[in-house]
Amino acid sequence: MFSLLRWHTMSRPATLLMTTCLTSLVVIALATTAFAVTAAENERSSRDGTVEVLWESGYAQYDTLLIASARGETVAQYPVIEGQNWVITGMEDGRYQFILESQSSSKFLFTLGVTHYSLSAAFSLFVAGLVMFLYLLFTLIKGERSD
Amino acid sequence: MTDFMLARDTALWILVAFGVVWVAWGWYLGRNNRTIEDYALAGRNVGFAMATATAMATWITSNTTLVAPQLTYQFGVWGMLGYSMAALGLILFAPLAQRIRTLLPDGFTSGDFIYRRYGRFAWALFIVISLCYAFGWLVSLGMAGGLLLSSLSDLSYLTGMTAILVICVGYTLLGGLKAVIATDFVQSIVIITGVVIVAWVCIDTVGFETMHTTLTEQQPALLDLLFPAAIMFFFNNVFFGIGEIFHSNVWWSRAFAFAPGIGKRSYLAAGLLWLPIPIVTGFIALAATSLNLIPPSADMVGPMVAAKLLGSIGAVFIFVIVFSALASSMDSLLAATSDLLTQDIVKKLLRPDATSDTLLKVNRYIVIGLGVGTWCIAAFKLATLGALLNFTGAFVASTIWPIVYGLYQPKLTGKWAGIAMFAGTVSGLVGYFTIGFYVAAIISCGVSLACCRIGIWQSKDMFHWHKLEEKG
Repeated sequence: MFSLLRWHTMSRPATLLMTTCLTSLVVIALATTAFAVTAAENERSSRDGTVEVLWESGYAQYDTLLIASARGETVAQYPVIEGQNWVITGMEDGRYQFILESQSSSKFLFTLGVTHYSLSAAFSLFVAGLVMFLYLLFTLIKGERSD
Repeated sequence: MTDFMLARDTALWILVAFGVVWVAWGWYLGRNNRTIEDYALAGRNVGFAMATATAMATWITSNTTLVAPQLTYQFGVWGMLGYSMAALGLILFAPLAQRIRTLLPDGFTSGDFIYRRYGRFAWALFIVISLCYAFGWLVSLGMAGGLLLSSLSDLSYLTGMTAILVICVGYTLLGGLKAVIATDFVQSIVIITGVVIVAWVCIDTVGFETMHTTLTEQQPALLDLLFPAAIMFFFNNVFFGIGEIFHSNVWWSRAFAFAPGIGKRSYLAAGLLWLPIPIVTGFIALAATSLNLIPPSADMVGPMVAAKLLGSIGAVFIFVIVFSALASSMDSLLAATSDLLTQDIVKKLLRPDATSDTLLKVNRYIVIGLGVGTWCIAAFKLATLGALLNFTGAFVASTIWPIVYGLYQPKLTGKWAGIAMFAGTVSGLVGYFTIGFYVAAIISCGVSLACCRIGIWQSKDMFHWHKLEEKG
């Protein structure tokens, strides 16, 4: 395989760069998995305002999934359809309680903390993307003219 | 089963009717295919109308009909607009298509170009990236077929997924690229008519005011123009779309198949015609909450809203539209990936002396193998469509600069093109796991650009373009 790729012709800095990239990917994948395993079950968080509530068999006795703010105000409510998950999106920064309700009983599911990414980080990426896109346009136009 | 779902028998009848019509047509179109050039490149003589329709229809896919509503449902207005920017991939490929046809008049695949321009190291990495992407897209299309059936009827996910694979493998196998292009032409007309009707009914039934009020109360971030994750997503999707098109043999094989002088005009026209379609398909997702619909998976929001709006007849209607969209992409991908494997793996590595007849046979076996392989992976349904597609973004965006510099900048060498693809892909995957799927492509593209620039700065070599005309 190495001879196929002519690995031995790679310079030392190039080999080092590729090894570093691969190692960092493995470390980050392992760290992400470990974090996911240790996260608390009744406390969840979201950085993009989206959350998925997975169906469990005991939920069939309830009629409504209620989302309440930290102050107890109802933000939204959705019907319970047997066997179906809920994907809820578009939530703003804040803490929300997820509760299943029927006429006779209710069940607290979890608290969701929504903290969106900072705008400065988002715009930094946006500007970087814009600059790279303009450079791509420039390269294509220049290439086209000299063609 | 909800009130808008299709009955099991109706869904099965539609599947059988679709299957028989497309496969029979594929056989009819492919009955005169004699050589690998007839089968894989439609004789290199496709005209403007067919060329534009196939480019547009291939780009209207599960991405457009299922993922555009998903991203609108997750990222609101920015998701919808960001998704439509994938049209830039087609538009910017227009000049490249012309240059590709000029530099490689006898070329077959994108792998041919990378091999002749950069040598084996970069070619090996490119083939791995291409195959990862092709399988990711094929699996996502299979999954979309399954999701479509399970959301619009009480047939199972596995039945839908199996049906679309069998139908597409059937007519691609019999008709080759001619069948793919001809079916794409009809499918594109069905799709455009369908999505316009659905959007019209959505506005008429729900109305802008109701949608705005409901979203403001329940999903305010979707209307927020300063939604951070959505702002991050915007250019990510631009580079993902560009990366998909610039590297994929789906688009290169068309550049080789279109008649001389057609590629540039047809890709430009296809991009401009495609631009508004994700806005129309994505827009209906904003009506979900107003209709009291909550999708069990984000990628099911589009079909659910459409079927709810149009009732049981509408479910049939949506079924046909989305099935056409899926088929128009899956057939192209099956054809292009089998060409890539035939030309780049079988001919280059295993059987350099293979005749046209042998390659034609091998190509057909590969189409069947791809169908079986896709079924095996899609059966596990490991991720949502959006997440799966954007995972491949880390791979494809790393190829943008090696392709662009490969066509226009003679100083970039194979070693640095390979490093750019490798480092870009790994960095994109790191971003995917640590931040989210909405940054994978942009990080990958940025790192790849930096590596290419270092390579050009260090290089003392100059590539001679006439070398591309030599057989690999």
